[in-house]
Amino acid sequence: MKNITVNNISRRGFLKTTGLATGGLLLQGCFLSSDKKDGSKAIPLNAYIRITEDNFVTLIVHQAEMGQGAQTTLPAILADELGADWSSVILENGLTDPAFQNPKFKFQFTGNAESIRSFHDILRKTAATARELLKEAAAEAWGVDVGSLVAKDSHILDQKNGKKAPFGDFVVRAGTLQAPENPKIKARSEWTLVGGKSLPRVDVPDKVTGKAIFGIDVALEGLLHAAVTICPYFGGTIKELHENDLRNMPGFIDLVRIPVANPIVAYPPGFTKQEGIAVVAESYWQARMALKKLQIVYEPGPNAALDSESLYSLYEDTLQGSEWHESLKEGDAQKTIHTSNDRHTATYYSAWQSHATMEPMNATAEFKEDRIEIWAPTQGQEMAQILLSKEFGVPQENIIVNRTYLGGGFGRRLLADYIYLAAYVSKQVKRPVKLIWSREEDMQHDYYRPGTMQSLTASLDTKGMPTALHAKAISPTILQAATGADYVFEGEDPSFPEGIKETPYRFENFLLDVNMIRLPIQTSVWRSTGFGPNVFALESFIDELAAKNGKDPIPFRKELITEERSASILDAVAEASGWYKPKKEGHYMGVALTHSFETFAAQIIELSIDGYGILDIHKITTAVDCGIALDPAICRASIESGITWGLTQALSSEITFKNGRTVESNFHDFKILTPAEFKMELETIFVDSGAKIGGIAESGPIPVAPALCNAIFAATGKRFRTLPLKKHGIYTRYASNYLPKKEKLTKKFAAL
Amino acid sequence: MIQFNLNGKEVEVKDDPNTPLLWVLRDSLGLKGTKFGCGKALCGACTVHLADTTVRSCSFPVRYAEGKSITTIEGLGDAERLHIVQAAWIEEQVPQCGYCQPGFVMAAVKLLERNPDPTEEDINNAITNLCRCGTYSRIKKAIHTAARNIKAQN
Amino acid sequence: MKKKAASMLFKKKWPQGILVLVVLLFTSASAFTIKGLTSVSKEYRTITPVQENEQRSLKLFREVTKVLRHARCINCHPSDNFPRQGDGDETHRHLMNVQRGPEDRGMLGMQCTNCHQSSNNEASGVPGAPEPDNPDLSRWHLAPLSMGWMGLTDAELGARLLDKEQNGGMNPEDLVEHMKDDPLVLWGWNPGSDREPIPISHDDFIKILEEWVATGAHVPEQ
Repeated sequence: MKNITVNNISRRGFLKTTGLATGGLLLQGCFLSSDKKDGSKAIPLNAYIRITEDNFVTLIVHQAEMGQGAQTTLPAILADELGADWSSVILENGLTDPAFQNPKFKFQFTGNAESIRSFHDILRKTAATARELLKEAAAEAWGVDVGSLVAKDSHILDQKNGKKAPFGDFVVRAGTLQAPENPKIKARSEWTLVGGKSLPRVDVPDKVTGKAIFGIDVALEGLLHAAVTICPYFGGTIKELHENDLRNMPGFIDLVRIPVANPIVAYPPGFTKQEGIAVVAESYWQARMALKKLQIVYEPGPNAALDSESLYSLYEDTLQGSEWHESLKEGDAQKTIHTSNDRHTATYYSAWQSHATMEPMNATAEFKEDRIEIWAPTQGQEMAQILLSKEFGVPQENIIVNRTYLGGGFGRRLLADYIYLAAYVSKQVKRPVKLIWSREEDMQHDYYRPGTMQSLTASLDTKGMPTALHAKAISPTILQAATGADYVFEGEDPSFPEGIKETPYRFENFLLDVNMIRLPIQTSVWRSTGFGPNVFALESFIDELAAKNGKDPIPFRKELITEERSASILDAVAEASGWYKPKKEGHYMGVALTHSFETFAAQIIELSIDGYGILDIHKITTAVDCGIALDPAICRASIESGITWGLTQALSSEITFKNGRTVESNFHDFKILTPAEFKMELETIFVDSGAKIGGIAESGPIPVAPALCNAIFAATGKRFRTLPLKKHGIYTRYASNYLPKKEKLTKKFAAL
Repeated sequence: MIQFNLNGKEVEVKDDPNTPLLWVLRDSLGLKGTKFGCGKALCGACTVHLADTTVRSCSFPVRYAEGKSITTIEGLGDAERLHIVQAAWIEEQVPQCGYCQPGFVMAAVKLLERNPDPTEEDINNAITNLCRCGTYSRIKKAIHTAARNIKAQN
Repeated sequence: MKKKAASMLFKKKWPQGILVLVVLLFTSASAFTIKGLTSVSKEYRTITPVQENEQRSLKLFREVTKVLRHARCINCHPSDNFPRQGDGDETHRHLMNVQRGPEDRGMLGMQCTNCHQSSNNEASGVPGAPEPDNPDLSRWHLAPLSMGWMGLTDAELGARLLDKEQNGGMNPEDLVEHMKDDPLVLWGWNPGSDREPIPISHDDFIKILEEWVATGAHVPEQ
């Protein structure tokens, strides 16, 4: 096995050696320093690479590892370009640093399938810079021409005379040299660690031996533990608090009321701030038991009547209304549709969803006067700094955010509300505190992926091809809570119309109207972002248009698309799935095409369904063009993970509301796919177009729901436009065995 | 005072006897490999071995551990001496976020001890843990791989 | 909401069926009339006609079946291989693919005692019950298939209950003892969490059972 050392939590003092203040230089990836203050003699050649004189190469992992493989592929890019010996590198989780900011957003976060596509080129340039510095120092030392030197296996090698010496011999001198502005970047043909074969993931050994440190595993000297409960009513308040004998409970330390337990940087209109109560004790279970003693009487507040039905009606009413923000207009869709003889309209709805990361929200904080140190499973290290700085008035540079492994992120951990809670409590009790949410708190106080509604109308020409599309999308904001800027989106945020604003198709006349409704329920991004629900609507609708005139959905799509990559993955997926071949008895297929996160994916689901709506999914074939699959096994795992995610939300999981609060509280009622249900064959093909590298982690779930519903349509002739499918009595064979007595399976499809 | 054998060593703890074994393992004994996922024995992230069976330790008061033998993921094997199931997990590169994996590994080990060549159905019946990343297909592959390796070893 | 309605239903139903009956049967020696039972005068009490005994026994059996069919009992007396969870209309197959297994104690890897210990776990909500002779040993398991009650008519249920071949060799008196002392049975009255307990008291249930046995342990023939 590789002898890669993974330092899960950054060493304290690291910040001093890279230095936030020198950000301008860091951004260029050429921060020069031989600062040895931390005593390690590791010389940073830039924010990402440090090398000791005895040739230990430390690579900084600046993006969160939450299962997507960032901790393997990102440093592999660095090592590849640097010429480092992969088997002996030391990996270290980065803190916050301007050099780690996403160049598009000028913000350091992990999400939106950005890790590779936004940083591949930066990492290559950064590593190439370091490599050239080392070569230059070696050339100087050996008195040779730099042109004959290569960097390989953490050594500099002179190809002319075979002379070889470790990087460490040159690192002191390299650290004083002027960095080249445009170092030569390796051509793809020179890549050895990425772009073809798969590396064993560096996090796997620790994850199967229980050694991997997640946020919940952080241990500190003198650590106290906190349990929390937050007002469950949207806009409700705490009316009465009865402590009972709480204070006599074993291990009890303190009870802390937190006026705003769900803070974000900028509050949209209608946001409901929720009060929370934390109980601090010597151990977590003592805190939980003490919290249980508390009797809290809530005032449900102005939204006490809110339930899923009234909420759905609100979407329907909004759809009938006239308040629209024009998001995009090309040509004159309304006129074209109005004057057409062949029109089609359909309305879709994707339900509310919880992230339900397997590791419940938690964070550890040590609040000291004018300094806060955080240990957290976070996608949003800079977000934590911004939010905490705003809330506590502590300068951002005095807030240190150590990132652990994440037991799932899916967007939830972009936010810093749960980090804030730990910091708030630590401030009150003046001790380091680890605050862990119960599963119930986690699910009831999620920033949900909101329910979204799309209404699509198209006009068709005499050949059955669309001449105009008028789309309407209704959704609360999904980007507000995840935005680090003190700015409130009006009209639309850039995320919720994704997937319907830019599509793989060309519509001569296209109008997108959106209504970003304001709701009292907190919402945010969720794996697949706006693409998930919008592509469900669009890809179902495209299928409907094809079916309306009896056209095969794949050639129909190919006629509508505008570029080659979509066409080639459609061909690839059709070929691999046997789309054009005779199907097995009772087997049906549905297709969906997506272009998201700069990646193209087409998927075909093959299934059987009986008259009672019981599904057997036989095979899911996915063709993906993400430019280059840097690590094919990680990319495949990511797509297949996305398939589970997509199936779960398409079939069974849903957050509902009743009496002004969330109904679901744990995995018994928020049902995610189980091992027994996951028995379909998966085939995932990567089409190597060599194009700019696209994202992968968010793309997997997106085609699933439409491909599934399109396959069900192919089998039954019935179109399901609202998710999850359990609402229509469609279940996997396994799930159909678990219906409550009151729900009888009914015959739905007479023909089957 | 409750005494039990943990990963081959006698330990004693002073926790309240009703404290779930999970939190005793994690906080009193410092073994963090056993994970808290749901607190209701629904997800299996906290699965440990109790003598010849598995228990979901979030729902197992520590008082019932008195005099028993408990094995956690830490007691199964480490990087130097991997358990054959852990090795299969690495071979198949199962984990993604990895949080639920110790629970799956513990469940798989017990299954294979009693049924060294499980069918797909045996696996579905025995292992009902939850994984939000969707590693199920590789988990099943790894169990079959482990079964093959066990067979080859014998 | 549903749960409340269900318990309301029981509050209304049980007094008519059982409680009034029990009170009258056991506290009053005077003549009484009640639907289905004719008045008996004091001096003839010891020689109650057989037919009357049978009628009373049958009536009592109907009350017994209400308890046996309550979720707390029948959820673990399935006529198939799957335990159930939940109350009333919400009853469903036990989540997580839980199955009977070869010894009524679950499948390999998913045995009842993996989660269910010897007492209710108020923290996790997972119920539990001990073996009679060891308070630390979990007794949680399914009734054998031969004692599956789901989907049976009163007559079938009665026949099955009394059939020594199927009920583990118990005669009616043994059945009463089982219902009196078995910790798993007693659990039905103390199910923990927010589960609905059996709506009549255990004492009353035993009195009904005893009287049912005393009146001949009659069960309907069809």
